Amino acid sequence: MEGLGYFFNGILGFLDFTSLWDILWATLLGIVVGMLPGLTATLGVALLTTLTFGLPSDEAILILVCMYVGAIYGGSRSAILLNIPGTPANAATALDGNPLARQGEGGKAMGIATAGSVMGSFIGMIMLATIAPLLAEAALRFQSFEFFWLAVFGVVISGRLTALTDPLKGWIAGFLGLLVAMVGQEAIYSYPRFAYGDTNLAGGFGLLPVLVGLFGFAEVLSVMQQPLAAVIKTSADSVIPKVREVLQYWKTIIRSGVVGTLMGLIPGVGEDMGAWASYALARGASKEKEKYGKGSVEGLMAAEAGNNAAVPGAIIPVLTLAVPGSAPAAVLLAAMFIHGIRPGPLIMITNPSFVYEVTAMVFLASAAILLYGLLLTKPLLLVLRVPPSRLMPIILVLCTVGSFAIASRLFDVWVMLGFGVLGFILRMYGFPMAPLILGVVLGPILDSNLRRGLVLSEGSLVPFLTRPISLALWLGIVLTVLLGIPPVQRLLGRIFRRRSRDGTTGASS
Amino acid sequence: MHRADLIIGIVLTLFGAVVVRESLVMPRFASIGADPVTAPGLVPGLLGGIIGLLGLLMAVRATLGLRAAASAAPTEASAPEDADDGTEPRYVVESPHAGRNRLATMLVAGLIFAGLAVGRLPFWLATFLFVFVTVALLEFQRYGRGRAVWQRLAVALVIAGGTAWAVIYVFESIFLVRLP
Repeated sequence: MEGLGYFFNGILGFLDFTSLWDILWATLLGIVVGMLPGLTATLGVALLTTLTFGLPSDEAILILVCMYVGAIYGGSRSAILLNIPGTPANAATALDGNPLARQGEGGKAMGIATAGSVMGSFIGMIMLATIAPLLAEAALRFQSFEFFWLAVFGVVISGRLTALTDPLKGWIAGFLGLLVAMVGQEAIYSYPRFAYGDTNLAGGFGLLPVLVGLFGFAEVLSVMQQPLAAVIKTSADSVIPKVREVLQYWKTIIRSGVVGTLMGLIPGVGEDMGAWASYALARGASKEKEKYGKGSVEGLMAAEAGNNAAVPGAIIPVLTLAVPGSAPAAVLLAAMFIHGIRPGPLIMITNPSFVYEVTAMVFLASAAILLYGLLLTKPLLLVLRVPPSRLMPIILVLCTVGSFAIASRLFDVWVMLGFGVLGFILRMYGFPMAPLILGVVLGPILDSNLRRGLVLSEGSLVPFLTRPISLALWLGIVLTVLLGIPPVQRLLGRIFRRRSRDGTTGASS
Repeated sequence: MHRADLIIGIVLTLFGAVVVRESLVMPRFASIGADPVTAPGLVPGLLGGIIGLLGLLMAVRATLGLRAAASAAPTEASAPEDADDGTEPRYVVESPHAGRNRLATMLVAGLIFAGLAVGRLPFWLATFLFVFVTVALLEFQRYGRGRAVWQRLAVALVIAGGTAWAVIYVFESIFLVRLP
């Protein structure tokens, strides 16, 4: 009940002119960023972080949450109309959204996507308000041993789930990210690692320039290399969905919202997997499986509810463990630190209202996407007509300003460029970016907690392996790694096939 | 992909080995009574070792893949799939080198702008020049001979002027952000 009070206070606190104006423009900007292929939620939140760091903390975080929610929703427009996901999170949306648009029902598809996104966000929001306090309380029992394994677990599971066809590349990306975080002064002796006498390197690579490089410059280069999308034709049908059409899939909506939130909660996995997992489960449970991939309203709703529910889901570990659930959430975490907010297990003790304020922010951003979805869908589609060749140079200018603005160091601009080129090459050869970013965020946590843990245990590894939560985490890591090895997968597949065959034979005899 | 994976795997293995070596030569602060498990090189060394091993694994896997591909008998090419089955995004038909040319333009112009011009020229001027040159070059590539030169230059001029003005105005005047 206390939480509900904080939540309503949070909403009331944002019902002034400045906050409402911020909600409207930031969500709209988020939708535009999400719509444009090549501009991701991560880049949008990163660039806005640099713009808003002079604002009061609650106003800045409100703007960033609105950008985040808006961008994940906005990506559905280009997925439906162009079959090109605006953000990676909308890839599953294209599977059924685009066939609907081809059948002349683009408006209906966008309306269904709006309804799915809003309801997914609401379910995620409720789970954020209920799970975050519980997780924060559980995390109070975490010591260095658990935080060390949590960092390793995050990188391993993120590497596995963001590179399903080749987990090895996901893990390499994750460990490279951890290594990137090792550059610069370490926490115990302030020894500048890999600095070679350079004061800039001694300061380490800033998270935001790295992010802007990997998700900005690298993306600009990728868009330039890709063929140009054909000009879209908008559809004439209504963008306001029928209530009956939406509510008949209530089970799918709730399932997708819950699954999306849970996928968001897993470190570094985020919205993409939120959408894919929801879509796969919805298809498995559907009575109209044959429609999937050909314009299924249920499939479209599952994908959009899943990815938008993952947004509050990804914020849960940010608030309670200071571990991001996705790449945009990693920027949000960095922004919170910049604004003097200290997320982590103590959040419910030091700043108990903050979790509910963030919940209220998600609620208001969802209300704004509903408003824009109903009123501004067709005018906003004009954005998709801007050719990338005219837009991308401007994006690079924004990336340059964004990477410079936080610390006023030209070195950060070079870092952005370097990581942009590196990210472009890695992506070209199938390395996912999310584990890399998660590694950069988790690197300091892994480093300080491993060494602190070893000091506490006087060099012994026993507490790392035997404490209950540590045990669960390292067993999870071993299991994730084993299940990612192709020979093990084949062996398990053979065993399960044989068992099911024996079972069938046994049942029939 | 196997060949690229092999090269990346070898590079990562060597990189991992260099990281391990560099981590081993980091000071251990034994003279001030530091616990060896707190040595600054411990975690980077472990990470370097893991990256090297994963790189080696990738190189071995790629080598096995290359061998398997070489020993496999050439099979008949499968029938081409229907190109317009409605599942692929619709793209503008353009020359095979168009994407590579756009990439090279953006990469070179971007590196010159952000790597060299920013910090040496006033930011508005660097922005104006970069956007003007890049948009103009991309417009020429995009339309081939289909549009008058003055039209392409006018588009580039308007976008470059607008961007330079808007960036300075929005960032410095509204958000009070320091520009390079």
